[in-house]
Amino acid sequence: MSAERCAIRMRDIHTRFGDTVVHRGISLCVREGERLGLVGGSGSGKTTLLREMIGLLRPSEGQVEVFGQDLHTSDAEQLQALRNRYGVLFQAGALFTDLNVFDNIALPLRELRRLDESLIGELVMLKLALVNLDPSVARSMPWELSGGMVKRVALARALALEPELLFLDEPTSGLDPIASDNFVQLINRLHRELGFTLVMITHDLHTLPDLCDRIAVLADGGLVSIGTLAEVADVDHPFVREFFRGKRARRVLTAAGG
Amino acid sequence: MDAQAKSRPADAGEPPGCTLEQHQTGEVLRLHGHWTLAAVSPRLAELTAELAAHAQRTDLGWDLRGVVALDSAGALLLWRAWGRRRPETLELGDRQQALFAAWETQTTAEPAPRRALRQRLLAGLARPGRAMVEPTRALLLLLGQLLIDSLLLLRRPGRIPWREISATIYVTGFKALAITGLVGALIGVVIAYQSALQLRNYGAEIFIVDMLGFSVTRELGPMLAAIIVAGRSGSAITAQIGVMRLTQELDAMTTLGMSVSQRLVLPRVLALTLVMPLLALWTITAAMIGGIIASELTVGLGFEYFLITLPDRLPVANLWIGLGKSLVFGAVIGLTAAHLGLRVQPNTRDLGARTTRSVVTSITLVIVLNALFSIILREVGFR
Repeated sequence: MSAERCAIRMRDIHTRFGDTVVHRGISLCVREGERLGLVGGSGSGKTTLLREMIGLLRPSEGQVEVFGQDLHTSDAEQLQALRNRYGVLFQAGALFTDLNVFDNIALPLRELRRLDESLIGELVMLKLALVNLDPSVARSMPWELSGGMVKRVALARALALEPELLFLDEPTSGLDPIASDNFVQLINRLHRELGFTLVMITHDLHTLPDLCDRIAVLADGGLVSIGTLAEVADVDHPFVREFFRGKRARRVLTAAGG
Repeated sequence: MDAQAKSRPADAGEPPGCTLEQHQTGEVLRLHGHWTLAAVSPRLAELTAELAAHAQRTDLGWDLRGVVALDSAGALLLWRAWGRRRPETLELGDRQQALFAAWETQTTAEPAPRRALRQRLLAGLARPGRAMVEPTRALLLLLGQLLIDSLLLLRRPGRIPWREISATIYVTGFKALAITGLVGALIGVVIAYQSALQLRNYGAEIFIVDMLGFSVTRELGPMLAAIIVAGRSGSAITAQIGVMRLTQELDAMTTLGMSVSQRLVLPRVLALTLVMPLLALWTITAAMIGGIIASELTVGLGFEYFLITLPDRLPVANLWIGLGKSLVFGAVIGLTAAHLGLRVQPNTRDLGARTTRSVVTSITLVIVLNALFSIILREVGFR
């Protein structure tokens, strides 16, 4: 186990908001190149854990290392360099309202302040093609796009800096089943081609078998289990029973062949 | 170089580079190191020039198998140097194939440019015309809707949204008492002080009662109250209704069969219409007290003197005019705020713009209406 290379390593994470305890001692390792899904009931602290990995939130106790670098002892410059190595797809896309699609994707590239506009233009258009969007979308404003398109543009922006690590917050929420399937296929294709590490929060049982190599189950402030779908589903825990072996879950998972 | 090494974490590894090698088939350029966006971007100009120089030689073979990491940015650099086609001899790793395949299929077409400046200017000139007509129409529609709503509610008094009305009165009225009182009192002080200084030159200090009484009750009190309410409550109403539109709460209400104009707009407009005269009265009182204190201190005309002379000098019609105007101001502020809130486009920028516009429009309207009232009522209320 110690030989495995961790893209993210969390050690003994405790998180408290006032009197509310969210995490009581979570340790986990996200292996390089894997697709890890975070699963848990609402209020189990999935989103909080993700925000701590991204560095948006500092845990009350514990250590977070991304690519072997401690998030909380790094200086601003090191953190910025680290941030350029990961991309985040927020749940609602978080596209900047004032910028059109092209400028939204170009923003991270422009912020590097080292690339000329023609290079940026070509990279942006390639990213658009990468997420299966038509070049004509480039001049649209975010509010003119459908939900699925917003997700694709947000994904293109998250991929703009060629990240080695990609965070997805409920990638398929708000999408219809067909759009959701397409999006899952898109993410899988990009994962194969670009070889990044994926960490995602998901509720969607349909996408779990397709989208995740390993699953981490959070409940009662702790990590109940981490492993492949089959391993995780065998754990004896009320949430796991309900989530993976409930009537609904059996129907979905057998249909998916998982 | 030091700065670059620092901005990149230690494991960024070998920087991008290439070496010429002599093989039996000919010369081969071997690329090595990291050809990624992060590694390439600090030395962009240098690498572009170096690659371009090598690419001019058509007999040169390229070997990319020694490259540790390549991404689409690195591939783009090479692709551009090659003149957007593969060189005759090219050795690639498995993963690298896909990257160049992507650039091969990528059309170089840039997105359509923005509309020409002239077109945009012309469109901009045509806009104010439309910009005036459409909102006016919508405002009239809203006003009509509110009238219908009021009539409907009068026939069924049980459905009058009392809670909403009383909540709005509390927030826009009671909570504004401190600020309107303070502003009123200070303006009263300033007016009394300035008039006292001028009137003293003519020995006409006693007319300070008239100056203060007329200006504050007829004009300044209602205006000040209206401007403050437009700033603190008008903007809040626009933002609140605007956010409800963004979050589709308005759609939800409509679907539930609740009338947006009846449940949201009417109570706010009604509450503001009721609150404004009361606030104006309060502001007028505060201004008078401020003025009396100032005149006591500057020219020695005391509280008693004011109490005795004011009813003689200032016909009570002036107070009614002031309060009547406030009624109209309140309705106008409420209508403008609600109207702009209902028309917020579903994006964050528009919400801010409309909120600002709500304040500016209602203050402008208040000042314009005030001027109209002054002209219409120029014969009323003077001795």
